[in-house]
Amino acid sequence: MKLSARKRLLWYVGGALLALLPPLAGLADEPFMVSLASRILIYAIAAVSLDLILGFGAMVSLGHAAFFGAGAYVVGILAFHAFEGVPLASGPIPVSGTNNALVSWPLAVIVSALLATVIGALSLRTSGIHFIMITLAFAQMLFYFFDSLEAYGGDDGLSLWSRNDLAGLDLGDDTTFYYVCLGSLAMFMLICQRLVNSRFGMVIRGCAQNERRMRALGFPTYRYKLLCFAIAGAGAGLAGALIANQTEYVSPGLLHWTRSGELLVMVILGGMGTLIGPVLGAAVLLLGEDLLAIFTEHWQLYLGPLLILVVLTTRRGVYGLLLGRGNDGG
Amino acid sequence: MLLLVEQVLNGLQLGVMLFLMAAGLTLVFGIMRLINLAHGSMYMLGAFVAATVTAASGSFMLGLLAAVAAAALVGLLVELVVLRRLYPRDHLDQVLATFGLILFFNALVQIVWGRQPLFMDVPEALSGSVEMIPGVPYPAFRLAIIATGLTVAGLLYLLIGRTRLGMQIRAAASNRDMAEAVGIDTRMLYSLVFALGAGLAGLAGLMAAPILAVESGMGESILIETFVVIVIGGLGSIRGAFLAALLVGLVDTLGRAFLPTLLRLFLPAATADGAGASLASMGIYILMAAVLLWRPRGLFPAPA
Amino acid sequence: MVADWLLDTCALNKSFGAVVASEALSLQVRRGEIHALIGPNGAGKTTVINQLAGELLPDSGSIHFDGRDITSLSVHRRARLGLARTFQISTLFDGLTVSENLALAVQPRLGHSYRFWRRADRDAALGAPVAELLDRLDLGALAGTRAGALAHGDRRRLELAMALAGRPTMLLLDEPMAGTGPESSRDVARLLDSLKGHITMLLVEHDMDVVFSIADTVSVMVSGRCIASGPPEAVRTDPQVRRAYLGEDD
Repeated sequence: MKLSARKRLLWYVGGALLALLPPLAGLADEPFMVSLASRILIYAIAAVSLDLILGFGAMVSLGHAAFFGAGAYVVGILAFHAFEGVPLASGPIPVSGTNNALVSWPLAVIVSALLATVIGALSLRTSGIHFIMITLAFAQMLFYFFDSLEAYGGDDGLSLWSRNDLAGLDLGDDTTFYYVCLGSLAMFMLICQRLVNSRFGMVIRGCAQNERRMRALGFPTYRYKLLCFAIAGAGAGLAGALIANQTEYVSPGLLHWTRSGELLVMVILGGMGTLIGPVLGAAVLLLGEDLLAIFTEHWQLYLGPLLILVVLTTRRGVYGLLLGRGNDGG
Repeated sequence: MLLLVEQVLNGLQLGVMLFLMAAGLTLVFGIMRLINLAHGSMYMLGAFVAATVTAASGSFMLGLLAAVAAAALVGLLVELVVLRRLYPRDHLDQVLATFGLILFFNALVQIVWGRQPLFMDVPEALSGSVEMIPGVPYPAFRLAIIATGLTVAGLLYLLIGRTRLGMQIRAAASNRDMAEAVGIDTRMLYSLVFALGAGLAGLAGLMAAPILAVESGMGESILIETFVVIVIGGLGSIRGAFLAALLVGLVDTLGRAFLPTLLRLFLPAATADGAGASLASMGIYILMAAVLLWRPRGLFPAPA
Repeated sequence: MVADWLLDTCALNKSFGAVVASEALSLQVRRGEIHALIGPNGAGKTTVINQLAGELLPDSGSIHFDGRDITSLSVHRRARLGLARTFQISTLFDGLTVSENLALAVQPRLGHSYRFWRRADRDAALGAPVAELLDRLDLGALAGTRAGALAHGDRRRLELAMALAGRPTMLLLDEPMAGTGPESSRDVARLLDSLKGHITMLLVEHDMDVVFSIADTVSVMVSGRCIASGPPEAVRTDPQVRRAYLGEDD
């Protein structure tokens, strides 16, 4: 009971802090904090989505950035066509670009989910280190695909002229955009929270712990895992759509394998197999980068060993530390 | 036709460099079951040390010795301090901790050598070109790379097949507990194997230094290609790594050289060039995915 | 004689390289009986179970279950048809509680699990059968304990409960009493005996007292082949069996 009280306290304090962050940043005269916080929220969505397959499903993917980047490119490409006034596809049914978030964000989610379905369908036929490597291979394919896609900037990437239009909201305003990111994260976490505790979530956790028994019980495990992989891809696509808006720029760098590595780091650092963990991990990593960068441009010199230390000493991450001893972090 | 010969040689050259990288990585996986993302950092260190020592001393041979020795020593140190603790851990921990090592070494190199890339000259004796086949002059340095790579492959073959150390390596690769039971000092063996692999990576870095820009982060792209090689070859198999390295080298080089031209036969020129370049850079990943789907344990899986 | 075979395997062959695990193995299990499969270690009993459950595909031969050819069906399809199994080494979800283990085991019987919103732990459709299983296997006091923290005997009972959760028509039992004390062995034997008639069982077991007290039919395997099959008394006195197998024990 003490543990759950502590958990609840974390939720309340965290929630209140996040909700009040823009006015607090205004008071502290640090408006750039809002934009950093938006970035953290966006990466948190991507990290939570990765944790669905990694922490709950025990599928170690080193290619999650592919779905993140794909979502960003969907938004970027649609905005590019809307600005240039060039139809995306001609022919019997011309498709034009759009700057409307209500169109391009769901499309980003759908495209990423479909991509994850295809990649997952092939990758899930392998396991262990081969799964790690094949997801990496597919992500690299997509990286090079966008890297050589000259129509959309190739390796230079693609700049957006403005953020998307979202039902009359001014996303160009950092505070408004922040609340949109916060809302997106809250919605996604609610969905995940229901998901992992549902029958489907139990099946996924069962597959992670003992897939052989799951099959013997009569579960077609491949299909359940694939659906989980697709849902995770969809989440990363949403994060991608948001990051494209935040930076008003998309580039192949979003899909690079080191980005996938960073997402893994966030999940582990924060505490995998939990939903808050990845959010904390994103915050710690991005804040840490930012803080270390104030003192030294070589912040990676400290981050690297820190990461090794975390791996060697604890598997419960920051969230586990906050909750204290005597629990499994769940 | 002449272009083809030249490109095949280029492919071989990339292939043997990949093999030098892959040999260490696949041995370390085969014996210690460790995924080591920091292998590319040893390559990077080799390149930096080679460029610096050669520039300072004027001797390429000194540069070579220093590069290999530095990479092997740093590799040994990393094994003793960090990696040894990771052998019993799962792959996820290994990926993360060695990812941390990459961050560390990239930053370290920036501090020591700065952010500007270094460039290294091809040694005097190898700066010309050789006309092995009339009409196809080929840079002597690249030929030297191929020769060195093949020599190292031969030596490794002898080392593993014929020597006492090689026997111990094979024993440990096929059954760790059994190896320990028959009195092989596995801790010592692991350190030795790791240093050997790191030294070879340093050698590859030295060879790359005159061809590519020597800069922080240069280890990452070759690291991923090396993983492609060892996965295609079958994890833990040196022979598989050798054949897969040549295959990957050729596919990558020939793809880049000829795919755009090939596609021009079917597509408008501009589209063909774009699609060709795109497909060529994806080529080895497509190859790896195809191999894994066809033979999930690679082409030459090491006996389990 | 026209018999009501629930499980009918015909001429199964399976080898791993040079090692022959099953050779022209034919095995018929009558509906409702307890059919014991005995034989010395390494005779290939677990390989048979794995082929019947679908984890291994035979090199040749056929398997019919309830009149249906299941030779090439996947593991989960066979389970859904009512062919459940237990494992020789307990194969549980160690990170989940006993109730959660059972709640998972109950799910396949209730249709698909593409249910994403409702909390599974407050789902009455799962709760009721789980409570029944806890009661039946005497695991009630341990409902909230993680499976990984259970004592060996309790693990074996949970293992059996998981297989029963799907209300199978047939159970493949791979040494359900392995490593348990005599008392718990007797409990399990009593439980199996009480299920007789409701659930058909193929029982791999080393404890001959149990085998000969509850089995209706006994088949004897040696080196991948079935050398005898029949009522316990007939098998016990079969000279070939005595020579090949039982003789060792005397």
